[in-house]
Formats: sequence, structure tokens, C-alpha cells
Amino acid sequence: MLLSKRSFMAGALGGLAFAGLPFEAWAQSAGGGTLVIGSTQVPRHFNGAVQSGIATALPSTQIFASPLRYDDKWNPQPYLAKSWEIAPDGLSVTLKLVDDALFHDGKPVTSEDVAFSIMAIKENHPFKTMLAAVDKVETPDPKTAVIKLTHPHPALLLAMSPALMPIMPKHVYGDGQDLKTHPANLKPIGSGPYKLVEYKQGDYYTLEKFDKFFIPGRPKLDKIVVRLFSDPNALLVSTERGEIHSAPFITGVRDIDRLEKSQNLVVTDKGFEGIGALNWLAFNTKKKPLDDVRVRQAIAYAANRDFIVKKLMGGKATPSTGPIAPGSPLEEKNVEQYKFDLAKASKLLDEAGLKPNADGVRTTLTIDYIPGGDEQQRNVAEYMRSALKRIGINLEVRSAPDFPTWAQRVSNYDFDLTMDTVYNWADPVIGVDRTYLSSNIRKGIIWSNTQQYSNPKVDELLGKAAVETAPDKRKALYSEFQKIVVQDVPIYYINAVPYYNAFAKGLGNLPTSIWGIASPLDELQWVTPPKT
Amino acid sequence: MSTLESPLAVAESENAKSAAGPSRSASVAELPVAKAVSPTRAALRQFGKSPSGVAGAILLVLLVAATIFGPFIYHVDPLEIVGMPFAPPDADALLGTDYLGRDVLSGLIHGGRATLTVGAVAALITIVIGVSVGALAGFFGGWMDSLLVKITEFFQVLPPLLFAMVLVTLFGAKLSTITLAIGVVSWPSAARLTRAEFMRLRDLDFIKASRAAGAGSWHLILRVALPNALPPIIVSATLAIGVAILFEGGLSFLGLGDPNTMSWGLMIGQNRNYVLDAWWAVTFPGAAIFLAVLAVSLVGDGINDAVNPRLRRR
Repeated sequence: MLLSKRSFMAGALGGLAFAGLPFEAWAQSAGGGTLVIGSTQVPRHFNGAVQSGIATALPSTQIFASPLRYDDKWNPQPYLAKSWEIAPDGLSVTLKLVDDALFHDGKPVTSEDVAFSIMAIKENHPFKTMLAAVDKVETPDPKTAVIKLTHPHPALLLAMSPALMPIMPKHVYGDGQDLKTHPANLKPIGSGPYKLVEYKQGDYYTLEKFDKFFIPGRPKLDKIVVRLFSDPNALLVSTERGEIHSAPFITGVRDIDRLEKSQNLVVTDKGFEGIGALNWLAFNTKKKPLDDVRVRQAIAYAANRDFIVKKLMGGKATPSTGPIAPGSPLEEKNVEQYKFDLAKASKLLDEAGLKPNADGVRTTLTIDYIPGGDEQQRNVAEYMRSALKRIGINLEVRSAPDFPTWAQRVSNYDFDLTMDTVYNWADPVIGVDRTYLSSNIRKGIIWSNTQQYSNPKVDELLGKAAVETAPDKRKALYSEFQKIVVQDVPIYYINAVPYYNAFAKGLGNLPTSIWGIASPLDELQWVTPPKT
Repeated sequence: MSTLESPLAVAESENAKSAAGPSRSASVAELPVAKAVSPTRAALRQFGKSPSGVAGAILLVLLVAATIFGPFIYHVDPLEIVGMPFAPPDADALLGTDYLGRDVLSGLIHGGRATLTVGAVAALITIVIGVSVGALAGFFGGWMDSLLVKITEFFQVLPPLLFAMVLVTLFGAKLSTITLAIGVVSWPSAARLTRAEFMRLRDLDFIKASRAAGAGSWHLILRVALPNALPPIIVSATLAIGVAILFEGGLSFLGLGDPNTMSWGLMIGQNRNYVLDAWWAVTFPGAAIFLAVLAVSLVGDGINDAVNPRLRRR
């Protein structure tokens, strides 16, 4: 009785979703049904080859397949590549592609497409270091691609993740048009589990099951609709009401609390390890008196990370103590913690020659923050004003009316202290190095080394680690790097951004891999479809 | 009220010079009460007869006194984190704490200083710009009038809140910029009012008489016409204070408040996301703004009644 009711429900749902398709199309599929995702992140287009960020990564990883995918323990899994082999000298990687992968237009996926995509991503993707080591891609046969490197590049394996390396059909994207503005970025054709059927700009987009997806029996869902919300509160209400079955990227402590209280939702912070979003306080290390490491250390001792994470962020955030995000296998926990110590902070300032004047003021500094994110950014900036007052530093909070204003100030070094949020993007070469390499002090570019931090030893360590293929040696190099950077305090690390994802209780096989919802949702399915 | 005294007294003496003045002050002079006492006294007496005006004045005095003397009694820095975030009102923090753990009562006291100062200064700016423009336009007429009216219209067609937001965005969210921005966007109505008064006055006989007696334009504007145009301007100035307070609240609500100076608007703007967790952090500053705007509005109405000769005959 229950079973028949359930299959009736699934049928009814499928029928609703596929009004235009014949009866058999949905009757065959096990599970089926429609998943509605709600997001405030509006994608500019759907092609992750030329656009970073989670707004594009979510649809791009459904539409495009990539050579590899990852489980929840950072282990690479076969995807378009059924096997991969790294040459002993580390200078080439051979990918064997699956035999029966097709693009949404019915043409087969070949090594030509892989070669084209890798070179196109190297050319066009904002993460320049990600594929800089790739020299060329050879295609000895249609199902074999050999990536040739100029030097060993261990980050390549993570760079082959769904969010970072969508394999595009050469016959569509290789027509000579500029890839960044290619019309097919809005009408994408990939080989992933879902194809894009409709996009109403800024309103919603609809992904439909690709019947000829190369993994048999997948995807489980018939359809994914992503509804775009301009008002986060409306998204919350819709999620509570069950109109939205998945709300990824929730960061507000009170929003998380609210959704956790709902009977119909499962709320999890799993699935964001790959992105590795860190929230921190950055210093302009070239500006007096912050050019003195003792002043920066004093500020670090005066801030109470415990209070920020537990009280201001309601215990939902994970404290972070170094440049590599918590949860990464490369994170070094054994670094200076800067435990709250006002006496030590004052002593350091005295040593640095910043003596208090008659009013007890040692110096006046400013702090900026990214507008929009109150809990992660503004509140911490205001907390810092109060915290630094105790050691005689007058901190003036500078608000910015919009993101470009803030980015303009910080990237042109017109700041003393600033709050910032920067993503690790899984491998340090992709998302960490850019913040610390002295060669990446590039005026006018946000999320480069805007701290103007420069330490030859750090440059050397990062250079060595980038080409070290032995995992334990690489880890040792990054450990040393983390200890030095934390000691030098170009940045005071506060927390990992608490990204949470709410799912309807009836869903099974939730995406808990390191890339979470920015990876193919081909296993996600309705165990108990929602009542309509 | 002392500001009222001298201009009206001047008006009185000017009226005495003129042969016949059917202006407001002139009709005041015809009244039996006004013959015995100065017009300011009369206005004050009339004001005292308006219960709402007196209530507003008392409320305003209390609010101003609280913000002036409060900090000497209650020594808590409004920007300092003194406890846990969202602590409800209790013995430690009488009105609770906000999202950072800052004292709400201290915020009210210090914030009131900022808010009331913004209100008063912005209203002053409004009146100074508005009266200058309006007086010149109304008194001289001709090309000067059409030019100034064009400028006034230009400012009038811009949505004031959006215009103020642009100014604050351009010049930074500081209390001084916010005050200036409010003044700069609110003057057109004062200008139109003043212009209308001056156009009415400039052809009246007592002005003509002064002119015939050799008075220059500046003397006529400042010493003869302005005092006679003052009563409606004073009323609009009082109301402008209330509008400016609301404006400051609105800008802060939209995230354009000065984060380094506590004000009532800033308290509401910053705490509004947490209203379900900590009603006290929003409710008290909200009530304070309500009371302040109510007080100045009542006072404004009271003054209006007091200086309006038609009402006085009742």
C-alpha cells in the first residue's frame, strides 16, 4: 500500500515536471522527481571554464563533466577519466577516458575535447596558477589524453575537479569566438548528468536529466530547478515552507539556527571543505606602524578569537589559525595561536615604540570590511574597534557603500586593516599562494597579495611545495610555510566561513563530498518525495 | 525663544515707522493684548494656552536634558563591548545589550546627542539655505527669481532620500557629511515658503516707505522684510528638525550611518536583523526617535498656533 502510494507520488511529480514528455520517459526512471534549489547567488553564465565562484560552479558542475571527482576524504575518484597515471618524473599525466561518454548534443567525448578544454581553461580561467604548469595536451588516440607539464604539478589532480575543469565540446566552443563571452556559455552543452533547458535571467533556471549520461542509472532525479532569490529572507521562508528543497550557502548564524529548528530539514556544514572559505583580518604590512611585526602581533593578541567565534558567530563557525582552511589534509594546527593576552599585546606595542599619549592613545588606525556580510565582516570589524581600544589603539571603522568601493581601496593599498574573505579552492597552489607570494603583489587586483607581504623564505617554500610530488614532503613544506606566515602575521586568521546547506528530509545520498553542491548531483534522490 | 525676540521687536519698530501695515505683525499691533505686551510675550502666552504644544516642549526639554546630562551620570562607553551579545535587560545592563554586547541604555543616551544634534544642525542648514534662496528670489524677482526657482526646482525633483544616499556615498559615512547631506536635500520647501512670503511683503506699503526713506536692498531684506516673514519660517524650521531626525534614521537603516558615532538611527539599522533575538536593541531607540519627532512636531504646531493671528482672535 505504502509502496504503491509512493510510486504514484513519484509518477505524479514526474508527470508535472515533464508535461511535454511521453509517459515512458519518467515511468522508467527509478526515483525521479524534481528538486528545487534556492539560492541568492545569480550566475553570470553557466561555464565554469571561464568563471570562478559558487554561483556558476553549482550549475556548471551539473552540465559539464570533468576528468575526476572527489569523495568526502579528499580522494580522487574516476569520472570522465576511468584511470589516470602520473609519470615517475612528474612531468606528464595520462588520462584514459570512459568509452561511452556523450555530450548533450549526442557527439562522443574524445581526448580532443579534453585537450581543447584544458588549454582553454589555462588561457581563460581567472586562477592563473591552476594550470600554469601545463605545456600541452597530447592525444595519441580518441580515448587517451596525455597532459605534458613544464615542471611537476601536484595541484593538477585537484584542478581536475568538476568545479574547476569542465570538459567542453571542441566542436561547440572551439569555433574561434572569445570563450569568455561565448554565446554557448548561456546555452551550455556538456556531458554532465543534467542539461540546461531554460534560463530566465535572474529568476530561475531549469536542469533536466540527460538520458544518455555515461554512468548507468544516473542521475536519479528527473529535474533540478534553481530558483534565484534577491532577498535572503524570502529564501529562508520558502525553505521553511518546503517550497525549496535545498538551500545551499547559508551563512547567517540566526538563519542556520532557524532552519535547524525546522522539522522538515536536515542542516549540514559538510561539503564546503574544497572551497575552504576563510574569514580573516588583513594588515597593510607596508604602512607604518603596521610594517612592524610586533604591532601586528600585538593586535593579534588583543583580539579574542574565542569570543568572536563562540559569541559573535553563535558557535556556528569553525576557528581557523592559519592560511590553510580547517579540514584540508595540508592544514598545520601546530602554529602560534595568539591566545587572548592584553598584557603581552601592550608589552609588544611598548617595544615597538608606540607609547600611549596623555589620553592613553598609542595610535589611530582604520579598519575596512566587505559590505553586505554583517556577521562575518562588519560585526567583527566593530568588535576589533572595541578590542583594540583596550590596548590604546583607536580604530576607526570605515564603511564602504558597495563591494567595488571596498575592493578599490584594498587593492590600491588605501587601508590599514581590513576584514576579508578568501577561498582556498582545495589546493594551496590554486587559492593560497596568491595571498603570500611576493611576485603576486599586483596593485589594483583584489585577492592578490594586497597585504604586500614579502618574505623570501615563504616564496621559496611555496615554490618548492608547488612542484613537490611526494605527498609527505609536500605537507612538510606547507607546514613550515604556515608556521612562518602565522608568526609574521600579515593576516590574523579568525574562522572558516560557516557555510551551511539545508536539505529537505525526504532526500537521500546528500552531496557531502569536499565540493558539496558544486559537484555533480547525480546520486542525490528522493527517498520520500514531498507531499504536494 | 530668545531668537524670536529681537527680530519681532525690530519688526515692531519698523511697523511703527510705516504709515499703514496690514502685515501679520501690524494686525498683531491692533489687538488689545498685544498693545500692552511685546509680540514675543504674546506669542509665548498663546503658546502656553496650547496643551499639546506645552506637552511637546516638556518632552523635548526632558530628551535634551537626558542626552546632555546622561553621560555624567551613566558612565558606559556606547561603543565598548561590556557583556555578552543579546543580553536581555537586567541589573547589569538596564536596557540589555545589542548584537556585539554593547550597552543599549548608553547607546540611547550618547546616540541621542548625535541624533538631536544632527536634527538641529541639519534643520539650521535647511533654513539658512532655504531662506537665503527664497528671500533673494522673492524680493528681487525678475531674472534672479527665475534662476533661483530653476535651481530650487532642480533640487526639488530629486528624490531626497536617494539624493542624500548619493551624497553620503560620495563623501563618506561621517556624521558631518550626513548632517550636511540632509540639509542640502531638504531646503527647497523652505525656499518656496520664504519666496512666497517675500513676494507678498515686497509690495506692501511699509516696505515701500522704508525704501523711500533711503533703505538699501540688504537692509530691506534683513531688517524689514525678513522679520515679518519669520513666523511661518520658524514653524517650518521646527518641523524640519523632526524630518532631519527621521532622515538620519532612514540613512542609518539603509546602512549609511556613521559606524563610529552611536546614534538612534544607527542602533536600529544595525540591530534590525536581530529583532527576533533582541527586541530591546531596536525597540528602545525606535521609541526614542518616535518621542523626539513627536515632541518637535507638537512644539511646531504650538508655535504655529501662537504666531498665527487668525487663530489668536479666537
